[in-house]
Amino acid sequence: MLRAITVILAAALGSALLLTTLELALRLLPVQNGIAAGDPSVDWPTHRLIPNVHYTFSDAWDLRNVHHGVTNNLGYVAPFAYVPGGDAIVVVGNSFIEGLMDNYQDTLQGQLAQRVHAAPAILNFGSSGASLPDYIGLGPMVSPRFDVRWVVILVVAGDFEKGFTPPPGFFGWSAAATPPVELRPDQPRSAGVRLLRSLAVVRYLRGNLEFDLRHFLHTSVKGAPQACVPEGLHPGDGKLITAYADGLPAAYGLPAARVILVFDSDRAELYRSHGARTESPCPNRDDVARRTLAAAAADRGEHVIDLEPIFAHYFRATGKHLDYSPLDNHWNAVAHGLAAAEVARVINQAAASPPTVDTVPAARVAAVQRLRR
Amino acid sequence: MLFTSGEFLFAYLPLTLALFFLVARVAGHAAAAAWLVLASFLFYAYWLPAYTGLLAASVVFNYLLGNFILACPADRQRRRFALLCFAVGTDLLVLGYFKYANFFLGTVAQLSGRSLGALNVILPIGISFFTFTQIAYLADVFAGKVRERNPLHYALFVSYFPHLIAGPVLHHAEMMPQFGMPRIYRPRLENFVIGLAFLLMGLAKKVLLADSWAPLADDLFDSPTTAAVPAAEAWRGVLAYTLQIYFDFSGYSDMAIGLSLLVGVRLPYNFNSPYKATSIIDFWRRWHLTLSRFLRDYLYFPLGGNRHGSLRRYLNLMITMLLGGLWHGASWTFVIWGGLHGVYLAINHAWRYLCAGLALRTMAEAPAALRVAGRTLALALTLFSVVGAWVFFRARSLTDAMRILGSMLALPADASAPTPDIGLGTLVPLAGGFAVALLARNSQQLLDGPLTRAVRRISASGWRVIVLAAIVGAEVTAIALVAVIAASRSVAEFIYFNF
Repeated sequence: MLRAITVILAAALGSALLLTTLELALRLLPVQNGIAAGDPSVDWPTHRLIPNVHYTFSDAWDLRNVHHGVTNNLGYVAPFAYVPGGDAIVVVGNSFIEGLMDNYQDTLQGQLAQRVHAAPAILNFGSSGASLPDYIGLGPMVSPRFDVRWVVILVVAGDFEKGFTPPPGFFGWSAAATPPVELRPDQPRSAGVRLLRSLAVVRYLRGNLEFDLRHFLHTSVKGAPQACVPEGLHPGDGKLITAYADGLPAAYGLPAARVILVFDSDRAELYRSHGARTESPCPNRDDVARRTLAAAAADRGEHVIDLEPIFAHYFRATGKHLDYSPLDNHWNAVAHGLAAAEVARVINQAAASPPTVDTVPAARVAAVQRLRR
Repeated sequence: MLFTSGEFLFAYLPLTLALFFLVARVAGHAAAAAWLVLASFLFYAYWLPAYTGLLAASVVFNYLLGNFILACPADRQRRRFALLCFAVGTDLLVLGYFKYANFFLGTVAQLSGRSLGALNVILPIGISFFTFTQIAYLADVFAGKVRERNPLHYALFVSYFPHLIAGPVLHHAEMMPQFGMPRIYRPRLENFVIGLAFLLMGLAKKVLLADSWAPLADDLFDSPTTAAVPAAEAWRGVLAYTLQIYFDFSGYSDMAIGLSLLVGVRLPYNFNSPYKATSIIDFWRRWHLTLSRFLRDYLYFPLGGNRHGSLRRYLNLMITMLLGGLWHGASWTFVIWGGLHGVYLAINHAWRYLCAGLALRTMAEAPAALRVAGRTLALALTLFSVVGAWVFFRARSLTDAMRILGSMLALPADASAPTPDIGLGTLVPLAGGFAVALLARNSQQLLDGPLTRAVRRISASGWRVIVLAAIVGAEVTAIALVAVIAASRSVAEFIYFNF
């Protein structure tokens, strides 16, 4: 018995020594730091980062793509404070818009500020983990504080389906509500969690390696490979999407013509096919849902930007990727720039047109028709 | 279950080992061996439970047939031979159905121009490995070389989870006697230290090295494009695959050896720095050693080996390598890969014969500078030949392989294809990988040498338990960390799972 206890204690000591060495080594390296969820408050119950923090971002086990930046007074990634009351173009999305892996000036919002004529403040409300329900759920929180002129929403793969399993602090689908979303409440972090967050080993595991115990214990392949079966919408999906497209302008207190939905493309398929194919031959429920949303939004007069032909053209011309793949599929500066140019074109065109005329460029009509397929 | 997965390393493995040692202590060695057999079948069932019956049936069938051959009087040689043919034939039929039926149907359809359709068959994982180990057993039973006949040890030899899915290709004579040794049924800290070190080394090879190069290789070989790609892109993908397959398979083999060492059972080494080989003959003495041994002992030698003159030797070599290629997969690309190596080996043997005939001065007698230059040239030529053959091994079709080889030889690329973005970010890791493969000491050199000596020194000291247990704790923590890195990526199976 004594021997067993000795073995266990000595093994624990060995483990602790290794972890201590690792902690010291990681403190000298640019592991993720300062990127943590802020506690929810009554006036801002949804997820955001801890406000006014200098952060370090790096990716994967070998700490690639290191970036440093700051969060502002509201807990979003921006090098300036969001001052309530002013005119604003609001940019909403998930980690693509949050842009931890990019320099701020390279992001869609950063480049938009350079490209829009007489641009008001461009406010980024991107949150890693956010999905379609968050993009509409944020509206009633943002619109009373700022004089929103435009809302730009980036929709990427997974944005529809993720809305069915939102983590705490995020909005999820709720068919009974209007708009059809509901916030999953979050709790303030305990002192123990705060202490753990300060450890470099924990930040490395959670931030760089995205450790999740449930996933860790279910990583083996089970069963024979399944053939591709193209998916469609589930019952009720269509109704959710319609209600979403209907409710989006009102959530931000805007007319439909002031809403811009930007749809990302299937870049992996583009690279895999060396530029020959722009979409997967095996669409899933989420792909179909996003296409349906694009069509529904266009029908209601919202602007729809499909990045697929734009990204495909760029890749075919240059051979350069539009993201950090294969390590990370988030957009790089080029992709943000191409998207910003398209968004700026819509905004600048609207500014140049008489306010009563809703012009529909031929390119947009073609893009919408393609998305409806 | 993948060796790199959390459920294997931190659920299946500790539970299996703990119960193995507990059962051995409480209920005896036979019960512990039975538990290990059961655990190995559970390991297999995790992938697809339906095929566990196939594995069990194969074990029972081959063991019984082995016993029938043994029970047959020595003077009834023809009957013994008929039994052997029946058993081996049945094994090959089963293997043929699951692994090669669609290949043959496809080939016949192509030749005849008729559509024959395809069977809806899923390849049972590891079927080539457990079939071949049992064929070797039957052949040795027939030859009167089998001494150990304990059914439990036989079942364990075939189904033993560290090797079940992707080898090494075990030989009954080196495995079954070990299962009878009392020492394996008691936990020993020394075994844990060395076993976990092998496991960690293999895990690191797979997760940190092989999986890092996989996207570059996949990008080239899995592309649906049918046009030639720029030469730089083709070379990048092929070199990435050259490193990926080595570190993937040798990493798997190290993990298997390490897992087995946890219970004190030694598996044979499978690799010995193959890219350091200075000839193709040398390469095959360093790459997939247990398969080479199997092919030599159970195919090349029975065919006559080199005992019937040069021409027969080259023919036997060619047959062995072609079948070795086909063993890897049901595709003409594998056959051509094997055939290429057969040709390489024949040229290599002919060259040696020619050198001996001309009484050329051996390398050992040459000046130092010439020796280094000669070795470097030989190494480069060997590696170049091996790399070229990997194109067939990895390509999805002969057309793809020819397209990629053409691209490597700088055939004009499709003008509309994008020029690849190849920067230092991909070149440095590739160069680093080859530096490790060509210059560094391999796992067994590191672990059998310095580590084993250190463990012996610690074992002889008064702090044995504390120091060894502390090392085990540190190793388990390091393994957990690498496993978390593995989980942070999409699932990456071992390449040899497909064979």
